[in-house]
Amino acid sequence: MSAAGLHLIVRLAGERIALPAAEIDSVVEIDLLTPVPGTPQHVAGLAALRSRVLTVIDGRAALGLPPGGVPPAAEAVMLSHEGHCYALLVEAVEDAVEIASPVEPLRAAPAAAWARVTRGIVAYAGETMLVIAPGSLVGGPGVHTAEPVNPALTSTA
Amino acid sequence: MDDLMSEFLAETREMLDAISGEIVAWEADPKDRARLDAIFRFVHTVKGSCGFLDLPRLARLSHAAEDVLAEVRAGRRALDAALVSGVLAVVDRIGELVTAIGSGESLDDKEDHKLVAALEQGAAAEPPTIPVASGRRGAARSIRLPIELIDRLMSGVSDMVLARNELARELREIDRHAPVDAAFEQLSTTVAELRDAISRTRMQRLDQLFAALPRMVRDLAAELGRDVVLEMDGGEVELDREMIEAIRDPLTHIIRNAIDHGIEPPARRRAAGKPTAGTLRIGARQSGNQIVIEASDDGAGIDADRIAARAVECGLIPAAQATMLSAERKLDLIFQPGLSTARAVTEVSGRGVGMDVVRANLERIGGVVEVHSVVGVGTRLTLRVPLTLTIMPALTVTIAGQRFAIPRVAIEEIVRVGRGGRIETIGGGTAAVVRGRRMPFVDGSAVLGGADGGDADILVVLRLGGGTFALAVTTAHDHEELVVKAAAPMVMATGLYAGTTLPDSGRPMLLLDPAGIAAAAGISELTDDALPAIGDAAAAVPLVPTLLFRDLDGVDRAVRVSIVERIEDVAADSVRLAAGQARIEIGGRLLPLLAAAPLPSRGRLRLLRLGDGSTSLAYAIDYVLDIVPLGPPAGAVGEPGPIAGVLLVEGRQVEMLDAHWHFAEGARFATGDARAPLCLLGGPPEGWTRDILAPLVEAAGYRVAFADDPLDETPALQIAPSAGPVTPTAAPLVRLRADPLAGDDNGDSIYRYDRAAILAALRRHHARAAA
Repeated sequence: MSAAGLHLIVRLAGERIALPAAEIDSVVEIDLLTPVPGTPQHVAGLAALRSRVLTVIDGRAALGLPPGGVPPAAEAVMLSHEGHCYALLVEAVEDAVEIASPVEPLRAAPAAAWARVTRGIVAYAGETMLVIAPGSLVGGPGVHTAEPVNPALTSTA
Repeated sequence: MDDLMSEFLAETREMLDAISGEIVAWEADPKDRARLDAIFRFVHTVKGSCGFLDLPRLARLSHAAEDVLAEVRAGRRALDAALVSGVLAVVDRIGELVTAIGSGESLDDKEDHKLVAALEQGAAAEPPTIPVASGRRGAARSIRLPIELIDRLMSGVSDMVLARNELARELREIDRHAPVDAAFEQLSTTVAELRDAISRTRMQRLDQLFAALPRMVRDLAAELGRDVVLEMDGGEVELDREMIEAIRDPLTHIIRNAIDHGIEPPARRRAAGKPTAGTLRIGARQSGNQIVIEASDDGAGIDADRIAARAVECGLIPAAQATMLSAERKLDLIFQPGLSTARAVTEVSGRGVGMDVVRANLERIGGVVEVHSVVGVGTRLTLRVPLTLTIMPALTVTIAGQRFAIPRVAIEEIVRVGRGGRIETIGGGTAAVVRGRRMPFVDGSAVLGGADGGDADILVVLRLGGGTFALAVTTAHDHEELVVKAAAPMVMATGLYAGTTLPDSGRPMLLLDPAGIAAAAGISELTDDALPAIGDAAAAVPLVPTLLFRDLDGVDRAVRVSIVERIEDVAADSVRLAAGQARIEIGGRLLPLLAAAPLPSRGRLRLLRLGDGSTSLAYAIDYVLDIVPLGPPAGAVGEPGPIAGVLLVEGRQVEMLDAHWHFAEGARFATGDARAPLCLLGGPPEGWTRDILAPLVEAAGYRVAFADDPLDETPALQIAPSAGPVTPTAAPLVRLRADPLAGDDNGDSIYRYDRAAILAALRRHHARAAA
């Protein structure tokens, strides 16, 4: 089993979760959102990052939970997904860490909100965390991406 | 042809690079059939292309190699080292020649013959000299790039432009030092130049599109039993690659229609007194940041009334409304979806098949299509498309507290409720009435989910398909050129937006999609907007169809359609200057030519032929923008001058030409200065008299009358051929003779090409008349 590698640990919906660093670009601060009327709840709006326009995703709403809102200077994880740039709003960005232990399949079914986006679990500093595919949050709760986010769950189901 | 050649050279170089490995391998193992095949394919391909491109030397070389390899493949000839060397020498020689062609050098062809001879004899006369890399270097003046790379460059440069804008914004807020400003200026200029250069890499000549047309027209004409002459013009105009692809189908469709429904069968053309062969003209030109493509035919034209009648039959418009439509609006009905399915209309009146698709396709890329047709004379379709998809002129508006951009091409006009527009409720539905036209009303804040509608009392009239609707917004701001990018899928999925943009404010803005807004508001079908509002007659401002055009000096001006007789395209060099005034001959008539700016001396000139019922004049313009019903100009000026007043169209100011002033000016031109003496030209009023003599006489400061013109004053002079009748008048008579030697120039006649003597006589009589 190989090491899980570099992960960004963030807090979302009260959970500490690990996002594979390879799948994110950077951490940004979001202010001045342009709302996008007509979009699903998890689209918080548009924000400018230098010359780029980011589509800002409310991480809580993307899990199907009530939207977390956008506090001033909110921290967000920037990522590219299918040719577009997104900023994923999280409650807090904690740290970027190298995780030596492997990602393991999740044996127990997590809460419905997490099941769709969880890739597995990983142990770090005595704590077990969900490993989340950030791209899978972009589509929101209603849309299923093609990415198999949790092979363990689908195979045992 | 140049394009084909460079394509061929690039391709051949690529193939050479690709098979160089094969060549080495084949040399090592000549029995390797796969390698042999690869080399055979190479020389075969080169041979095929050379014949087509007329490159006899390359053709001879590749042919020789192909023959030999074919024999080997067929087992008729054994493979030996000499043959392998011979073939390889030929392949190398092909490479040298390609390089030489690319760099414009010439290579001695003695070597060619030697190589071919060696192959044919089956033995290399001498070990082939292979000048390794002697000429290959530095020859590749063009390279082929994957389109994705260019797209990436383009988006990188767009980002750079936006970053520059942001930097400009930041710089404004801090204390600046001159060196920073200078460096920033430098950066700005460089970025702008870079953007232009990169934009050009995406450009392709319209020839790409035009190249296929002759064949298509020929085939269609043959299939449909028409005689069609195709004239194309403007193939050198460059357009974004994506745009070329986007207009390919609409243009094809229009041409198909022109041949199928426009140009009549030869017999019918003969009966109508037209040349048997119909003419189909496809022309393109750049006009500002738009490309205008026109397809015109001299066919049967479209009967606007029949189109309207058909539209009524199909239930597209109520009969009462049909009678009130202007001819232009009736013609415009051919773009209505319902009409396209009506097969019968194509047989009785010309066009209408799939034109809705044509319009929809063009609107999707921010373009417009217009039709102009005269029954019996022909039809012209004008396509106007933006140069690129990425930069779009737009209007910014505020709806429910948020700024949005609206593509300018979709905007017909902007009015304020209470001043030109109002909102009325009938049977639970809401409609907007803008200057007497009723149209569907869309409350922007309701569609875009804003909490409070506020006082959205600005109505933006948006064009959609053949109709219009009014979008209520709180404020209309600026016109801006925006760099538009595709939005994320879930944003596009709403159907409300066409993309995102980052204006100078630094806050992302959404570009609205008018079609999506209408759909979201539940407007399924857009009724034609010329329906007069009930009870609005008293308040209605009389609306008159008005032609908007871009004038030669770049200003947008307007003229009432009623005085426009037609729009003409003439060669700029057909303008004549006589006695300091420009005139132009159209259809055998010499019309005074007025213009707001100096006339171009070359190329084509677009003219409005204006008529007041009895006289005509020509007014030179850049191009026609649109025909819209408009009220009287505001701020009418009493002062005599070319401009009658100013109109507000789509939030822009448009100057209305003062027709009275222009006709007065034209009349002064037509008759010359009222004090100019009149010269009567006897003899038949055509040919030599009109075309050769008259300009000379006019240039000498006379007004000209011909033998069959009614005379209401005594001319100062009569000039007539030496033989033939003269008009009885008190004026002195000068006779012109055709024979230089038949008379005495100081006597009763002047040789008609003795310019000096004629001018002297004209001067003499001019002075006498003025005295």
